[in-house]
Amino acid sequence: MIKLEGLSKIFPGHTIPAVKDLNLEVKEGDVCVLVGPSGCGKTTTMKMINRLYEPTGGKIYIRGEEALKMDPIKLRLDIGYVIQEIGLFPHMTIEENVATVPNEKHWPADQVKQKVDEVMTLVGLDPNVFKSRYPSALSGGQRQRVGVARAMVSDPPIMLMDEPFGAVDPITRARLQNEFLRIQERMGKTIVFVTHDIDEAIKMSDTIAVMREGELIQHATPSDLLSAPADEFVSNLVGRNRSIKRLHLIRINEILEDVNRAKPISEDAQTEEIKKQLDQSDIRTVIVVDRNNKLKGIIGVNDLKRTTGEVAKDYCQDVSDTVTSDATLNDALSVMLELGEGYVAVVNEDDQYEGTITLGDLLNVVKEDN
Amino acid sequence: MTMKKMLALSLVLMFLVGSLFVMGCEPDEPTVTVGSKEFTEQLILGQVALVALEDAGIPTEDETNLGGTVVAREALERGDINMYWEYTGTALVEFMGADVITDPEEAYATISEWDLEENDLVWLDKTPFNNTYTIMMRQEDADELGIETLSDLADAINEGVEAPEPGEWTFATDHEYEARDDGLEQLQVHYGFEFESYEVMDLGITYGALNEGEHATAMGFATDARIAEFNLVNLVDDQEFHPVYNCAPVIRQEILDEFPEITDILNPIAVSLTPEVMSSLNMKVDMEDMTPREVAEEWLLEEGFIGGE
Amino acid sequence: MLQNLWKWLIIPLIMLGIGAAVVIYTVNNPTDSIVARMLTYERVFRVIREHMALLLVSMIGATIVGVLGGIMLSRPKLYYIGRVAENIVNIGQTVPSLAVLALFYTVLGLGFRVAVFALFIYSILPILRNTFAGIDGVERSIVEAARGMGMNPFRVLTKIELPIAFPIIVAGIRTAIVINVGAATLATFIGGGGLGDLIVTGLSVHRDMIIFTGAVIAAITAIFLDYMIGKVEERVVRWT
Repeated sequence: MIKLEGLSKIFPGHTIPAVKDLNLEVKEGDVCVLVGPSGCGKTTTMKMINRLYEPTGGKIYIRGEEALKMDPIKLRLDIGYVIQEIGLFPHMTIEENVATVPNEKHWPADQVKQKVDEVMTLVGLDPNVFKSRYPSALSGGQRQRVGVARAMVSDPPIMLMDEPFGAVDPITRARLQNEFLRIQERMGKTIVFVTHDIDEAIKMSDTIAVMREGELIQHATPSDLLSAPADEFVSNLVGRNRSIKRLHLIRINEILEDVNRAKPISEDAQTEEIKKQLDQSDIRTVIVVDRNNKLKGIIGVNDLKRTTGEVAKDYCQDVSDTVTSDATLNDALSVMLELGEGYVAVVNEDDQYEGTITLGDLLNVVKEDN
Repeated sequence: MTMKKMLALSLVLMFLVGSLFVMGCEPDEPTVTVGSKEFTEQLILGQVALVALEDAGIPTEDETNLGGTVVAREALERGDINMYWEYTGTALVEFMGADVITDPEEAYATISEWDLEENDLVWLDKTPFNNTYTIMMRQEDADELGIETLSDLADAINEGVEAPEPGEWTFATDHEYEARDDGLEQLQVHYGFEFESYEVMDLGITYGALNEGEHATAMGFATDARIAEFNLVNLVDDQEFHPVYNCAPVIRQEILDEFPEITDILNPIAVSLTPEVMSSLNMKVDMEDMTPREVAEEWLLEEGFIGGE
Repeated sequence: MLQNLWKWLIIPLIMLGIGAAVVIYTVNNPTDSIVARMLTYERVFRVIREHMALLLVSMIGATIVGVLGGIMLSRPKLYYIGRVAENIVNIGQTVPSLAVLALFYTVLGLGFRVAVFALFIYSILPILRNTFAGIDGVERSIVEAARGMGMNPFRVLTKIELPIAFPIIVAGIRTAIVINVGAATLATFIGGGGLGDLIVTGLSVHRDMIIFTGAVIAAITAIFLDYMIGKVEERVVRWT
């Protein structure tokens, strides 16, 4: 889909090339993450693909066509572009921002409207609420979502993303990453993604291209990168805790079937039943759900002693955080550490209970791997 | 000495020193405060008076360059200044509200009597120069068209004689001359002609506007240095339209009583100020970059008004 | 809509009313022959016409040249010249308007056209500087996003840079108007006419009524122009 051949770039006034003889191929539907320390040429490489920077040498093929021979404006209109600073246009409403590319392409108005609604819903922004707002009225996470929506609205087969989740807090970032992976599963775009965060690279990628001083050091799947780093630089980059980094690679729903599902009880369960369940639980906690299997809360041993009541509903405590089943094991670990508990409840998109992951489960995964 | 006596003594001392201090600040000492309007001739005349009075040992204060006619006059009437040089014609029309007088002696007599009676202001002797409004043309145009007087100009315009540069009988005037009762409008009525058009501008640039050929005629003041500099000519006011504007020091009676010698100091000086003298003094400030004070000192010394034993 | 229009018009109408009342009163109640000579309907309307012409011609010219110049200087090829020009303009701003007028008089001579030209040159400065600074101040990431999504340079300028810089450009135009309204009353010194005719004549013959009439109309003109610009800005800028 994207093929870079002997690509190099020397900025005017510099003698050392920012990118040196780079060869890289990204297959259709793959997410290729360019990773490396700052100044390694990853952003420069990305910006050459949509010709914001003109290469000094080499060739770029996009779907077999030579990109350097195409009209750069047309080229860019068919490549989604997201940057860390987002670059939302402050003088335009969210609707106008998202509609930028369709308007540049002169789509008919009703089609633009329909597509904007569609893509905003896709990234989790209610069009009726957000369409007429200005960017200044949005939170950081919401702006990132608009940035992604704006890049995707015209359905470009290729997207370039330069640290798209770099400017938000870690929790929002994890959420946005998961949402994005969910969308990507459905859309199957070919994506070149730039980050300096190796964890993010492992999590988001189909392939990782490690760069240093303008050169491509290794291009491999995350799993291969972790098990067989090409040289010391790469192994230093992925770090010593390679086993733990593997947690980035595995989604919760991949192992949920195999671990103890910690059967939930209904909110109407009697005290006796709760006690029985508590005794059987290795996490000394039971999960309470309502009639629609929606997560209602938890009951610990102490809750049963502290309060009086008749049914589960009365003893139930709120859950402060959960993970979704498409999150990675690393996300589950983060939440556990944050909550200071040895387990975390897993829910689906509609907040329905799916199971529980424990610290022990995570240890087993890491152990198996070694 | 007891404590009490010491305290009493120091109190007395403090009182004495304090009262000396207060007396030192007393502004009662009479001073001749000389004012002037804001243009060159007035600045020179102001300095002439200041230098001459200082030379005679009279305490003076320099308040020249006050502003326009009204500002200077009001300052004099309020006592903010004690004297300044005023023009007979200006005072007659502006202050006294009298009709225009075109005879120099009559004008001087009328205004000086009125001011003494009404305002306790004394007009010392007047200058021979008469800094009246003048209507000017370029010398070569005037020679070529044979225009010497305002009547000649009126005839030329009325007979449709072709105008010199810029090709129309235009006129450059300042704001005041356009507005005055004895200004542009009445001038045209008096001589029975009409300029084809006129342009209002700052007084300082009417001479230049005429010299550069932007206008065919212009108004100005008869003693202005630029008339000689630019080779312009004053058209003779043959039908005595413009009031006379001889100049004289106007001084408050009470300060003259305090320093009666001022009369003898300033009168001979005023009488020496002929049109040629005034014009050349103006020239020195306007064209040769001397300060009004330098010009005043130089002239007074040359004429022997100061520096004598 | 009709109600909106009424809201828009109410302040200009009030000001027009005040101006008309002042003119009618002073013209019909001259204190003496000098005031009567200077304050006739014909003369007052003439100087208002001259004043408006001074303001409008110089402002329209300065806005066009200032905005276009600012845009040109903000282009990458001229950017460093722009930085230098910005500094020169800042220095130029410190020259008093009377001095600018005097300078143009010595070079170009007298009259309305010279006065308009001097006002025009003087008014360009704040507009040029603000246009350059406004475009220069647009965040790089915004421009990069626009380019990356496939806008050509002209579209980036017209759709992104100029609209974002608009409030700053308008502030420059407002500054120019404020300066210009004051400076336009000085045009009379070099034969440029305008309301300065009344003010300066009034000062030189010490007739407050003439000064008052000129000053009131000049002030109303300034407030009116500023108000109109403010309204236009309000309509265009809704995102801050």
